[in-house]
Amino acid sequence: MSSMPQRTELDPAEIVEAHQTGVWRYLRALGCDPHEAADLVQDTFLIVLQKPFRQYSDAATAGYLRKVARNLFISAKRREGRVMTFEQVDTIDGDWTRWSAHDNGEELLAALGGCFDALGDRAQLALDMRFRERSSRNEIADALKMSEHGAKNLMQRAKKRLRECVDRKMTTDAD
Amino acid sequence: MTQDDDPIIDALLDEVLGGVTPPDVSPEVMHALESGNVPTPYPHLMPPEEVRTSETFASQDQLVGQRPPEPIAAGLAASAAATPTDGLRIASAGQNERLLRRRLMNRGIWGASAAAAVVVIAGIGFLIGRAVSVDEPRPAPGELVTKTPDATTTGPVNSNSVVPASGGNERVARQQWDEYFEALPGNRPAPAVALRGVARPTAKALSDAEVIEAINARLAVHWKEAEVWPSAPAGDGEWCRRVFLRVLGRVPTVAELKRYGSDKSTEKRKRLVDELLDSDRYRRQYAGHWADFWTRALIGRSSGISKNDPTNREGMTAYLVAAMQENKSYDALVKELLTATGTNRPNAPDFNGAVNFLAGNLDHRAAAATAKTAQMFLGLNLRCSECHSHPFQQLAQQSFWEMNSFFRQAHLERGSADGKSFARLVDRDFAGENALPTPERAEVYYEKQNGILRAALPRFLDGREGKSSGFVSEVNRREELANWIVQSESFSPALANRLWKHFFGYGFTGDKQEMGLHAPPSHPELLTMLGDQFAAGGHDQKKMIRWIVLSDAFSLSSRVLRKNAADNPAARSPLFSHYYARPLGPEQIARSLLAATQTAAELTPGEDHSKWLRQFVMSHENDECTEADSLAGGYNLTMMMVRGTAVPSATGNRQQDFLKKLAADNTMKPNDKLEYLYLATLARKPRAAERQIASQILLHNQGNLLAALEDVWWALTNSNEFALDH
Repeated sequence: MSSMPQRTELDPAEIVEAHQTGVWRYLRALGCDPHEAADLVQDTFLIVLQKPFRQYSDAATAGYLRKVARNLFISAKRREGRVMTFEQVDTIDGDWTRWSAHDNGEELLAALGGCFDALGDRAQLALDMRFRERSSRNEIADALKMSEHGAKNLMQRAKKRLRECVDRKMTTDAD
Repeated sequence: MTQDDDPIIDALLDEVLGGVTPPDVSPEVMHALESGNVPTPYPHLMPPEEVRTSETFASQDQLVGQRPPEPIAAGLAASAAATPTDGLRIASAGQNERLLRRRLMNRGIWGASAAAAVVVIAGIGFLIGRAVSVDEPRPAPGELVTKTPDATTTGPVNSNSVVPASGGNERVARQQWDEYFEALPGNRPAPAVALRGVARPTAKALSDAEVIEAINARLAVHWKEAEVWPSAPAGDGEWCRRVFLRVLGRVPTVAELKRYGSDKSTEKRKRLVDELLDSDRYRRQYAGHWADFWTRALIGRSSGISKNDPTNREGMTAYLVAAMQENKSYDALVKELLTATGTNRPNAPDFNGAVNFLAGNLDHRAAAATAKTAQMFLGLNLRCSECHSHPFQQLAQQSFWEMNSFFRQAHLERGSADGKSFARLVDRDFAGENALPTPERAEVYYEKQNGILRAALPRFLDGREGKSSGFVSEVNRREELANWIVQSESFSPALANRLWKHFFGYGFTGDKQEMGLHAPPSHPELLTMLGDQFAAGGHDQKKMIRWIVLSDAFSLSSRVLRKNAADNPAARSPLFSHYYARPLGPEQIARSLLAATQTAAELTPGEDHSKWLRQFVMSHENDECTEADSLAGGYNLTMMMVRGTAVPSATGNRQQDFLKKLAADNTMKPNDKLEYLYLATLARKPRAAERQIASQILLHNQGNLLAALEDVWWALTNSNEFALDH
């Protein structure tokens, strides 16, 4: 697995530049929408960078930023009155750390692209409509000539296969 | 997030397919940093790098063995305050109006709440600051004090950085308290009264009569101060029913009532109490009722019911029944509960029912065991301190995990037999939570609100250190904790408060069992005296029961007078100037129905009755084992009783047999039979008007005595007078 070059000293701008994508993707993985994630990324860096910063390693800095971002995310959800169990957050946190803690998720993104190509045509079409065209489940069902429930199941199975494929690829690569 | 979502995959698909790209927030962040428009920093009191030893690690990554523990820079450690900078940052160009609107709304909400938050937090700071100042000097304004076990450093900081006096939301307030506590000398709050672990000097043991007299005198002082009058004394039947309900968990039988009524002695109440507590006749019933009481308190009504639950209710009850039968002293009981080892299943070779107290609480790093132990035996609610310092209890988060350290040698081995899981509790060497085992100094770690990980070693709540070794051969941490708890100043008052609540419906701290600065007792000198005498008397539960039920307050009528109407414990501190009527619990109703419908001595409900009881109970699934039962008064109780399904199913066919026998009894006149039903359910004879109504019922049933008795029985058992302890 490729990883970012190790640096011992970084100024604030470099820290933001180096880690903002990873923190944003991590927050997205936790369930934030893109704007909320961007908002929390700003909060994270503003909080962390108020004091002089010494970096020991990229991995340690990335881990620490994720920790602050995670706490900000939980705090934001609490303010919204949303119920989210810590087990959910911990599970996602564990998966993300395992897959892409050291490269801001770049390799994970590439792995997903490969896994997507391996899906069947109908599954690809369904996910494409869902995520590229923002089609409703009803529209996807119509396009695939199946029930809405069937479309839902198809996408669920496809995402499950993607997760298994990604996990396999990332684990194999790591080994 | 729903079950259908997979946030990671969804987010990635958004990027791969949907064209969503990561934003560049560098300009906004750098502009905010350069212009100083950043969140107002609350005091950064984390120790600098040179004093941060194994106490502080940077991230969880380092703990799970990815790499050796590696301190992160002080700047990192000090800066995780999660205060959003709403309204202060510049929205990035790519962010839409929605984001701006949200920030503006947030700014408004924050602005409006800021003043209130400042006032509230400043007030709390003032109060706690006052409490702290009693024992320890506070840091001077302008001085930052950071204390580790090894070093204290001082340095100039903003003058408002020591005492938290401002904040924007709950999270910030909690973090400020975390920081505040850390700044205190010794890195912990001044011990609150409720936390002192040093035993009070043993008081001189008074006789029962002297203790009862002291209770009466102290309550009378409060009545006088509050200008309330005590209600009239309760009648004999009323008092007798009350004593049976509270001491044995059921109403008295007709025979017991008559025997008590025939006693003409001036000491009749004392003699009845002595008989209930000490005679062989009631030994089993006393043990059964109090085993139920303690089982509910220790593991709730719903633990040990599901197949996968390691708690074994039967084992817990069996242990407690034996303990109650031999009147085991309370301190010995608590020590056994806290240090128990063995298998919790009856009939196992190494059976030890006491294991069940901890068996269901050791998962998730024994956090539940920590909170439950403090709540049960010290009257302290530590649950909040698991995640943040407790502003009202003066308890730092550190204290929770230091106490938690005492449970970490306890290890639960699970098994199953006859389709039911069981557990064996053993003590094992604890190597600490570090990636590298360090049993000679076995630490546990906890995460502060700002993401910093800290270490904790065994330390009692009064600040005294326990042994840090995790080797069982060197120290049994649970034994150390148990010995400290039973000597704690809070130990005996907590039990007095619990039992007082059982007998009066309200304890000295209201309807909660919690004690501490946030819950000052209504009668502190009485609580202290009871605690002292309980300890001086060898922690004898029966003594405490005897003192309470023979006190004046327990013998007062539940009828409220105009002159004591102000004594409303739901609205203010209880004065105990009248007996507080309250609904019977499901167990009391079941046992009372059994007592009322049979003359046999066997009153122990079987498995069917356990199932019957469970249908009324809803567990809140929390560490305090709090539960709600649908028989706790109000509409539910009324409907359940009137509907007529609960009562018959509680007694099965016994009421039919009982009523048939009563109707067929040729030695009793109809009026005697009516009287019998009243005595059996309400512990009093029917009034004239009630006799007239009963005659009408008999007429309505065309002289069918059995049908008339059934109607009367149904009306009595569905009445409020039966369903209430009054």
